[in-house]
Amino acid sequence: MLGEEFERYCATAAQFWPRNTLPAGDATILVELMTEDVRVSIRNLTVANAIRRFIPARIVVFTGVDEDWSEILWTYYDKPGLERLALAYGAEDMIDIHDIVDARLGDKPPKDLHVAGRTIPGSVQSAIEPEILANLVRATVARILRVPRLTAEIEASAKYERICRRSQEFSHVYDALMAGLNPVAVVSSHVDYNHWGLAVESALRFDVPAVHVQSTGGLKAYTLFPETRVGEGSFRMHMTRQIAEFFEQHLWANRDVLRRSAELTAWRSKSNLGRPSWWRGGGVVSSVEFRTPQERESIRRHAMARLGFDPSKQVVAVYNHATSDALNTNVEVFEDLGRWFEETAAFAVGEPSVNWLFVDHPSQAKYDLTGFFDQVKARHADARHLVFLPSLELSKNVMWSLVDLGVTVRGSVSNELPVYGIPAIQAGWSEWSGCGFTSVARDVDDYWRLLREAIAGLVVGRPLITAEQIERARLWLWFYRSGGDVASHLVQHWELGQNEELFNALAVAMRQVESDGDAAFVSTQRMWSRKEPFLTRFDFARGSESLAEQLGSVREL
Amino acid sequence: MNELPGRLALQTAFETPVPSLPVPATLTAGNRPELLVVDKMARGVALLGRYGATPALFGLKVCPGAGTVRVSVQFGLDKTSTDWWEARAPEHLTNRDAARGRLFLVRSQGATRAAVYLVRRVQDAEGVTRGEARFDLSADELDEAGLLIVEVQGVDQVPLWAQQQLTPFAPIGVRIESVDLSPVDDHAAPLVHQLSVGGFPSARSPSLASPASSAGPPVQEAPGSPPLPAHLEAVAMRSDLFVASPGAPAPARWTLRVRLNRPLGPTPVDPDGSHDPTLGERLAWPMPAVAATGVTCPAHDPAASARAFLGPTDVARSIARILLGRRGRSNRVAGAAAPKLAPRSRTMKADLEVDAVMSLTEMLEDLLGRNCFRVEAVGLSGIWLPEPSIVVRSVEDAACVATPSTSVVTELAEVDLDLGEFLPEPVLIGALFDQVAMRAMPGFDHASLSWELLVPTG
Repeated sequence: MLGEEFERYCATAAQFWPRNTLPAGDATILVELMTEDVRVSIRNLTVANAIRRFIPARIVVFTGVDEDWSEILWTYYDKPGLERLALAYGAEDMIDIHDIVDARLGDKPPKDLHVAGRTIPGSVQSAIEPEILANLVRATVARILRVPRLTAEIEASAKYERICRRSQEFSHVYDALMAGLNPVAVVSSHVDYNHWGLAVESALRFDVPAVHVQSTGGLKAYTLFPETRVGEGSFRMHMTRQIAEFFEQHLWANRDVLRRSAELTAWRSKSNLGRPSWWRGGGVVSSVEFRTPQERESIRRHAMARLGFDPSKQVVAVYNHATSDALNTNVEVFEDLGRWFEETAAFAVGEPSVNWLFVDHPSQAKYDLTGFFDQVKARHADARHLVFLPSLELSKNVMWSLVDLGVTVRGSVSNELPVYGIPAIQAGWSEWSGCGFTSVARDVDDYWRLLREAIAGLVVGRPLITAEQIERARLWLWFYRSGGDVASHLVQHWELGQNEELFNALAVAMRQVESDGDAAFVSTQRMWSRKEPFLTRFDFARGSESLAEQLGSVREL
Repeated sequence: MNELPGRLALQTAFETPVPSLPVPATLTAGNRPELLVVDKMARGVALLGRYGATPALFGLKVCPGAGTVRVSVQFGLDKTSTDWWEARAPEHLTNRDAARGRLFLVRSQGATRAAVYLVRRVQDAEGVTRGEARFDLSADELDEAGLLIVEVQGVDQVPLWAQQQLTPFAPIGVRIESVDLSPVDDHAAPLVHQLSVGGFPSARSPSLASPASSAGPPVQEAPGSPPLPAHLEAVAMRSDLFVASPGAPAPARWTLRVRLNRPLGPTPVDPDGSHDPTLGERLAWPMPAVAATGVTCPAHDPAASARAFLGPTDVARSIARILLGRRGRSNRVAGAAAPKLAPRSRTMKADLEVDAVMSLTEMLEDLLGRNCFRVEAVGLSGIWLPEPSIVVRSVEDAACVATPSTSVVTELAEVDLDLGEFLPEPVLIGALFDQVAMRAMPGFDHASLSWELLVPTG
């Protein structure tokens, strides 16, 4: 299915990697290949091999899908193809986690595992905290069933019971692998749900660095090192704290050096260039083309009329999430994303001093089968100051012309709006929620307080965002798209797609470009040696002057 | 960031200056920087652009000067419009037909300015059916700091009497040909109500349209038509619908000129021949509405008409039958007299076996009385439901036309429509016939009807 160019690329990779990594030692890197998109696997394997340039380790990949994930997500998962790729990148062994779990569910007692020449006792019992396991199970069931939350009926169902049992087994197997292989790293494209999230959870308990490689941009990866963990919490909670710290130390402190770059990113982001955002597609629906408040007002008059809004009032936009997406994997002030949305809608009914725009998530069909958004909409059909719209009905021009305050739990819109001076409230944590450009609710009461204060501010025309917050938002936007996005020949940009063009470009990189100094290698080594929370395009620790030099800054005249 | 701290920060350090379009100016390409915002619309090069959804809009930077600006937006419909619609209109539509008429509102500066109605004809010049919206923006509506917005919006709710003739999600695929901006000085003629009849006739290029004309260029004067007063011109309709949009304060009154085209015998008519709108298109025997060349017979001398026609005897008999048949029937329309017949026609009558048939005016009257001909109107912003009053008039000095090539005799009548003293919003008007009842009228046979709208020039 992957084609002849893929095979040629694999043949090239098989020549390239042994000469660009240390010989395998006793150490192991566990690499996840459970995602069908080959770009994800290429990224995971590249990071693993970048680690192998300074740690002599062998790669063990874990693969597989089950019927649940096949049903909701994967349509072309090509295990043999991914195994050929793994072999070309030097993987020593491959295990199918789902097969192992299936076998364990039928075996009593479970059989031992044979991985990379080692025998790992099958009797290892996971030491995961029951509440953490239960949370992961809930999130997995909600995602698989595509429901906003679990009902008593769902919890009594055979499906729920089956996912519970499988999840327990995943956790046992991952704990067994951590105990038996003592890996130096786990590299995964996801950190949520049972078959990914429980691997990362095991890694955290076994003090194994967990690398979360991102499915966007060039090469982006977040890493949680055991040495840098402070306090409790999930992978994502730790990352939020560490990103905030890094932001203050390296981005805010270097804002004068970074300002021009951040401005350029803010300009490019208007038309979605460098997009790793939720703005879907390109072209005629994904650009902000107006530049001044007066031009915005010209469009806004029409946008307000389209929606039947009172033109004398400000607009609060509430961005629904993909309702079953990774529930409770970071701090959320409401019980679940659905609860947040429906309670906010109920709150809005009693706040007619502003117009309320409720926007559904563009990919909701993949996350909700219950018609949740339409149910909430129907509940408030009589409230003229509430408008509910599918995301795709709004262009970026129109949305940006309308919104005076954005409300979300963790949506990237809470970064994008403040970049252009539009304030945002978050009812939970996200990667950037500690960077100081949004109002982040501590709990439910605090959320209502923030909303009320913001609405009061909108009504009297009080600014809700400071110039510093706008600058912070632009700095994060820049970091997400540039400072934390490594441009390497060895992965190519996500937007190139997964096709012959990609395989050819990668083969050219391996055949024609000397590998010294490749950004994937340099940045991985730097992240590892400094225990930084992510790959970075630049060495921020060298100070402002060096940073300017590394940026290749355009000099001021 | 050059805005106040804590306010909108839409500017970055990388914005480039955007020039404003001076007035007067005409913009015909979409790759110009003055066209700052295109939303759910693709920019063109030979065109300004093409709408990909509804509603959709574009925003122009304009330097308007001190006074009122007249904005004229030319729209077009072509084969690609149909393709775009097929690709982009919702799949679930029950009336999924891209080939019907396109009716959409044109909004600017927050207000509905006009409605445009386009009915595609493949014979149109360059395969493009063209129409326009024209409106005036006062100095306080348009300034250089903001944008001139032109938004199009399909009409969601149309009455049943129009539904079958209209494509939903109408703006999808519509071309924006050009935007013309001109100053309105004290000497400029006020913009009267615009009429949109389905498209400019293909006989003339839109560029030849009189600048003050609000309904597009006039049709070619049809043979046999009585001369129009200087202040009126005839605009051919493409269906039994048309749209009127408010202009300067003026009564909402128009005249429809009806042509009854009677075949003069069994000679078949080329259905693909050049013809203007005709209800006959939906009849079994399509008939051309206007004879291109032929022999004109003054109505007051029908015998001369019959003699002048050098065709077979039965055709000549038919002409005479039609012309003479109306003799003796009273014209019941107030203020209009029945055509007078010359004495010689009686001689003809004696020679021919003439069956009595109804005149066009009588037919219209009769159909009107039985509600088989009615005029409906509906405000397109949904706030106005006008009740049109109708007067049917026969046309004095009208001529009958017969041509050897088409064997058609044309008879004229006029219908005065009155929607009131002013037009508060764009209105869709339908002149609707019960086709079955009409075909059953004595003497209608295989005739067809076509319509022109008499609109003020300048």
